[in-house]
Amino acid sequence: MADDQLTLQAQRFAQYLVHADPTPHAIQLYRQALAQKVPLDAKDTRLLALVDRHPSLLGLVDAALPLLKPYSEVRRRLYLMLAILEASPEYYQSFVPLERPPLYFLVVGLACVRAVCKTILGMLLVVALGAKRS
Amino acid sequence: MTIYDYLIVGSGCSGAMAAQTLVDKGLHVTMLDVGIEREPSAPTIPDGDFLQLRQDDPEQYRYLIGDKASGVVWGAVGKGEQITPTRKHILAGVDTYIPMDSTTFSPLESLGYGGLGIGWGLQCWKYSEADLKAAGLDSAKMHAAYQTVSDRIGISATDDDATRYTIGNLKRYQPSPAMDRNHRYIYEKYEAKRQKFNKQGFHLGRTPLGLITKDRDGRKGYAYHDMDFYSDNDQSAWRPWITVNRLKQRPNFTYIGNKLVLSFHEKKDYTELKCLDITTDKTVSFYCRKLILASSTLGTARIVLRSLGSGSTRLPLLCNPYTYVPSVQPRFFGKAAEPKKLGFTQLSLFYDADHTNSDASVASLYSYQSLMLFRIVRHVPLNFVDARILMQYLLSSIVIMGIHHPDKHSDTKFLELMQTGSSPTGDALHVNYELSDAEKAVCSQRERQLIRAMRKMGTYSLKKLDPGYGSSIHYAGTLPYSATDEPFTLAESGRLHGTRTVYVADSSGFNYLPAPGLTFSLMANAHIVAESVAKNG
Repeated sequence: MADDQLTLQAQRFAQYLVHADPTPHAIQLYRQALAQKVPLDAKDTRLLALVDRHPSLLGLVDAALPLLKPYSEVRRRLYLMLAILEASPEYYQSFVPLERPPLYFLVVGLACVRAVCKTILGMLLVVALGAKRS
Repeated sequence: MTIYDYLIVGSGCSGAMAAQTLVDKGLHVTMLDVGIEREPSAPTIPDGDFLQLRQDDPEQYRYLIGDKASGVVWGAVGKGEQITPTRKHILAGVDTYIPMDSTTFSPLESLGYGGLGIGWGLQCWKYSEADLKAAGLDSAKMHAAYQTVSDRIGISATDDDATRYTIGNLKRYQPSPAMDRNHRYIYEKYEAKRQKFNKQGFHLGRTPLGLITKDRDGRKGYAYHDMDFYSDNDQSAWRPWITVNRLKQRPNFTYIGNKLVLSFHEKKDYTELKCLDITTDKTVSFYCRKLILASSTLGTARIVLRSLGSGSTRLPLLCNPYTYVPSVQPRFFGKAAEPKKLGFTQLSLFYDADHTNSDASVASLYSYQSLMLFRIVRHVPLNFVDARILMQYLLSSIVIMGIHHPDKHSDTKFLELMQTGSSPTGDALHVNYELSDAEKAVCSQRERQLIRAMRKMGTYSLKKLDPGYGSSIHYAGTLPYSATDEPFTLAESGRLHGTRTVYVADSSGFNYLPAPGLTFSLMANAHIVAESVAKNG
């Protein structure tokens, strides 16, 4: 994958994960971490192409993969970016536990409901994608 | 040809203790070791609190996730998941020089300077009388040796409800470090219903640690920086290299690195050791009058099998079955991260259903902070965005139980050496390790009981993670102690039967492996073996 594509992917992943632009350093770390190529199977190639073409579907694909393909390359790359962001002081607030008001559990509950909905929709999408191409 | 007086193989916990015993007696000791150290390019970790460094240090990625994110492990849960980039040298060279061939067993071995002690969790439990007896260890000698080791390395402990399972009659130790809020909460809940718990066979107490809480011998008392998975900056945690570095200052101690010992051959007046020099991959020989093998159970087994075994020789193996259970304490949902924490285990919960102080299982309790959020997020079956929000909210409430069970010999637990052309040593260790259905049922039943007890202490399990056999990193029993002169067994002195001058100072001789971590016991045993070697001239 070309450096430009990886840079774009790093930006999209960071935006998706913490709703913030990655620092140039985080992008550089992401590119370095992916410098060593790993062979991709057909499904991962299709999924990566899909999220590159349609970044808005990234959330659904990410939601489906823990159940359908937990060690997918898409998930590995998202996980790499998550670790890189966590190890950067700029994103400290997104990772370190913060004091929350008592009603904050509603926010978390809502996130869980949203996560389940995304999982269902995402599984339909990923299964359909697999069926269409197989 | 130089003939060394006392040659010790390995710089881990047992090698360091055996060496110190002999050096203290004024004897001339040489240590042969591979001794891979941290790469010179490895990051320097600044002094400071984990949370402060997370906010301030732009270079933190180097020690938290590694250059090129090499410390971000992906794939199934497995051994060494908690090994951080700054301790990666613990695994260096292992796949090349001491390969393993097994589908049932995935151990952690080390060729690092300090061996597995580089990443030791510091638990310093004494074995009970009954467990010592079952393991084939002399209880009177072991009690004295525990004290000697404790005095050398510095231990922090507390006399509490679990004392008979933890430190027994150990006399001199420093106070335990302060507990964090998660552990204080568990301890208060336990104290409120202590008698009821005791009646059911549960005993909770502070975990004795090889960690000093007050300055001593040039080492700093623990500063609660919560950087224990990354750094040994203040040397409050004892590591074998601390002892070996100090021995190097003594005139009667020599350290020779980069040598992987392959085999030994006893001659009339000396023993010859064949070694692989890992800088040249060439074989070199060393000669000694007394040989002490302390290269960990699996490493010693390789050397003994190459030296005395035939192709079909099988040795028995012991390893504590291990599982870990991430749990939550609802009381701490949405609480801010706690500064001044401790990364090591703080409490141990023993389950001894028949109240015999033998054959108990033990859960070590850890709170979770400095190993970072990302490691735990990947176990949540949700998308990463919502999983991050959820786990950030829950993180302060997370307590990990690491449950160990005792192990006994059986026909389905063994190892043997297989020839292979792909290894520089020409062989690989093949291990078969399987528990019987009855053993599995006992482990499951005990895990259920421990999880239930923790629930009564306000700590609720999320799931049980099985990292596979070998992941406890507690190995023993390959050359069991025996009163008869059978091959591949040890005499009480630690001498390998069938040899005159070869001794084994690690846990290879244990006939039984109690659940509490073996490191303190193998160090005490190494001291006893070294005493015996010295006594026998």
